Amino acid sequence: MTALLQVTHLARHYGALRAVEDVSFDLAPGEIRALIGPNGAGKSTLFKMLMGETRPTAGTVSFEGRRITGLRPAQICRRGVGRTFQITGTWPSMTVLENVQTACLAARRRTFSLMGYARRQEVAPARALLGIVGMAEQAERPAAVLAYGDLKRLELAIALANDPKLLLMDEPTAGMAATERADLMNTVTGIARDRGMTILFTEHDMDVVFAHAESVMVLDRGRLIAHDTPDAVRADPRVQAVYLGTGLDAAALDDA
Amino acid sequence: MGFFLAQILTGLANAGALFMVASGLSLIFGVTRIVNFAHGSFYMLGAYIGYTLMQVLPGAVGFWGAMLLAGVAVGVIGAFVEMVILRRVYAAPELFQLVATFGVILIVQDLALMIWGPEDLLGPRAPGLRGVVRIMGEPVPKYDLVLIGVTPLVALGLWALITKTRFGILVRAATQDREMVAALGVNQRWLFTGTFGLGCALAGLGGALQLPQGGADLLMDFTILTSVFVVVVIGGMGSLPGAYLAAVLISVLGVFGVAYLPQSTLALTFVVMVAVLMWRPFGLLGREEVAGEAGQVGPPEDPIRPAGWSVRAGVALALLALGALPLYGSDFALVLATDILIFCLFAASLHFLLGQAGLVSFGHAAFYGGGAYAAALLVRHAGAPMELALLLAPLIAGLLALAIGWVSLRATGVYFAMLTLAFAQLLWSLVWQWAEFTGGSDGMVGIWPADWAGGNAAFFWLAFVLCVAGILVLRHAAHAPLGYALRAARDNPARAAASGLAVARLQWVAFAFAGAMAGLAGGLFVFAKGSVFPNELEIARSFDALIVVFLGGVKTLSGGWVGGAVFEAGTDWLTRFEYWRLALGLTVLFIVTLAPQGIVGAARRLWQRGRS
Repeated sequence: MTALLQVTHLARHYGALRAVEDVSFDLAPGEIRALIGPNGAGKSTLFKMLMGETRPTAGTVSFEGRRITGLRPAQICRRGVGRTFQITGTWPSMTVLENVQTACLAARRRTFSLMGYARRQEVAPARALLGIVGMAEQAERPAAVLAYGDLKRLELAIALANDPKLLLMDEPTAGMAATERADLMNTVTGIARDRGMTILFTEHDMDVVFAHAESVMVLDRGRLIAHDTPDAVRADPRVQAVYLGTGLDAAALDDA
Repeated sequence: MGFFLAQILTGLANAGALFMVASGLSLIFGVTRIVNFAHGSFYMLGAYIGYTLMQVLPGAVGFWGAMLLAGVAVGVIGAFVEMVILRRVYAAPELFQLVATFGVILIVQDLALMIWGPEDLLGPRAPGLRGVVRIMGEPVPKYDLVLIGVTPLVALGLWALITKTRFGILVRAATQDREMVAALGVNQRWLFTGTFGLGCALAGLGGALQLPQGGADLLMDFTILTSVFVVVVIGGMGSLPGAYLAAVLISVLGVFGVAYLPQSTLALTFVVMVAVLMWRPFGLLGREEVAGEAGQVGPPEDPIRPAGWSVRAGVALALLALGALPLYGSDFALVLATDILIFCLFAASLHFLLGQAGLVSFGHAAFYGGGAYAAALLVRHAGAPMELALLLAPLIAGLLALAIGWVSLRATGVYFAMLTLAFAQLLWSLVWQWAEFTGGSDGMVGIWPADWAGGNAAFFWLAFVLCVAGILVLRHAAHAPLGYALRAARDNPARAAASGLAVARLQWVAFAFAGAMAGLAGGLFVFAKGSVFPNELEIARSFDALIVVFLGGVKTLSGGWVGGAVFEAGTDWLTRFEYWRLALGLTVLFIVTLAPQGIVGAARRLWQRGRS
């Protein structure tokens, strides 16, 4: 099967610091993969390079066989890559519905238009997206007053507006309560299976990773040290060393 | 060779005052995050106070003592201003603080006029340093040599203060992370006051030091401000070595410009500035500014929605009443109403840029004056009829905005703001210097409207239709997809880009759109007055618009034109007084401290309180 996303020898250096070093991997269409690693491993830097927010020092990223390294985030978005941010990104001066409407307008490339009132455009698709993420009842509220978990859901709806083939999610459940986490991830994986969407997400909560990811990559100090099924990764002594330090009982990771 | 050296020495000498003012500005910005527009005023105060002290204090000791005392006095005045005015507005949106400093400029201008009179004062020569020294055959004033020596000493003293003392450590810490310093229990109030006072003292010292060269006059506050902004942009905000480097660069360049290309001095400065910014967007030695520092602060505004039918009916009635003004108003009322309408369109265009796009331009007069000059030049040199001139004025202003925006939008926050101001000032000096084409300081007169629009009533109707239409288009743009896209890019640029919004191009379009609307206002202005002068392009005009937008309220939809109407009517009344700047400045400070959400914002809050 041809890869949807192809990352080859990707690196980003900040002076002497090698935030990401020689990372290569492929993502097949429809895959749901987690990227884990301790704080400072380079997960967010890697995401920023995939989305065009940070220029790689070396290496390339290809999407559907075409090189996307060097493109701007907006261009990469139009190719079919969506993303959510670790620090949730929404537009607080608008209502929940308007947030999604604006994203839909962007997907239709109507953002330079002066014609008509934006709040009367894209209403049906925006409401449908809000329904999918379970935010339909809050459509008219200002985004600025939402609870954190609802903001995460709203951002998911925004990211889905472009009907992306690949969705990058940076810590999708950070800061949420345990039951909320499971809900959100069930929603996300449900959407992915319905639409055949590919997902790459970073996550600190191992419950979320092992419950929802089909495969797991482990990043440590900028390098990929493992890529396997969740069970194999859990049993991998190198991964245990990264998370627990050597010489410790692996049972802790099993419990996690 | 000798000539070359002499030029460099003159440049180095000129760099002295520039460095002191620029480093003061940099220091204040680093700690308090305020771009102190009044910094030129403190420089001017330093010159005037130094002049007076030199009249009183005798001899060489008196001369040098007067300089030091002038610095100290200005420092004390600065600290006083900080405590009385700025302390009250730190909690307000950041750019509101700029309006407060602009109020200070107005007050200082009139106080200086009251105390020292309108004549330019010739600075006394330094005792014992009257003559020149011949260096390789070229005359170099002795005082220049002193300045060349003194400036590094001041820089060194400043460096020692910043790196070696507890105060300096706090200043550096606050520049890096203000919240952290506060969390550690440092008394921020006094740190801010001390820094502000020190920065002002430097400006005052700079003003006094240049007395023997330049004297003191009432225009020096704005003159130095432009150069200082250029220096700070080139050197990097917050960097003292950067300020020194850039001050020397600009001064030496200026001296050589005068010697070899006298017509292009200013243009040369700007070419260097643009080149530096292309290469290093945060100046030679500057750091990247934290995004959002100069943009929207405070709680986000409520989501907007188009007005309901009752409001629309009310507005239609009010417009009908205003449109019927020629039937019941006097000629004076018609002329005043025309002026107000034009100014409202100008203010609304800047309000769109600030409110929707979050782009704080300090040089919006470039497009207002640009439109005005475009119209006047078309009539004068191409014999264009009024209709064509009014059509082309916004187009030319829009093109101008595309060009200026292309460079300025490479920078963000304060750098963007200062770049726009610098470009407006470049345009102003172009018009001023290119007298055979633009009329220079004499302006262009006798640019009258077409016969059918010649009467007061007819021209009022023309202005009424065009201005109201312009304001409605700007307002509609906020509700159109473009407005939502701009607010998305403003609220969270990273999210906007990741959703496929072309953030940079959207901002560019908004900049050009606002520029074109300002150009339309400028074109109308020319035919309303029958003349145009360079002051339609000057800093004060840009600041008028900024004041208005903040008075009206940035985070409201009507802030622009409401503020414009109140301001223009208010100044019409205030300018009848001799010291109207003082009155205006005090009014500005009064509103800034009492109603920081602006007129519309305050009215809305009152209304909401009344309802609940």
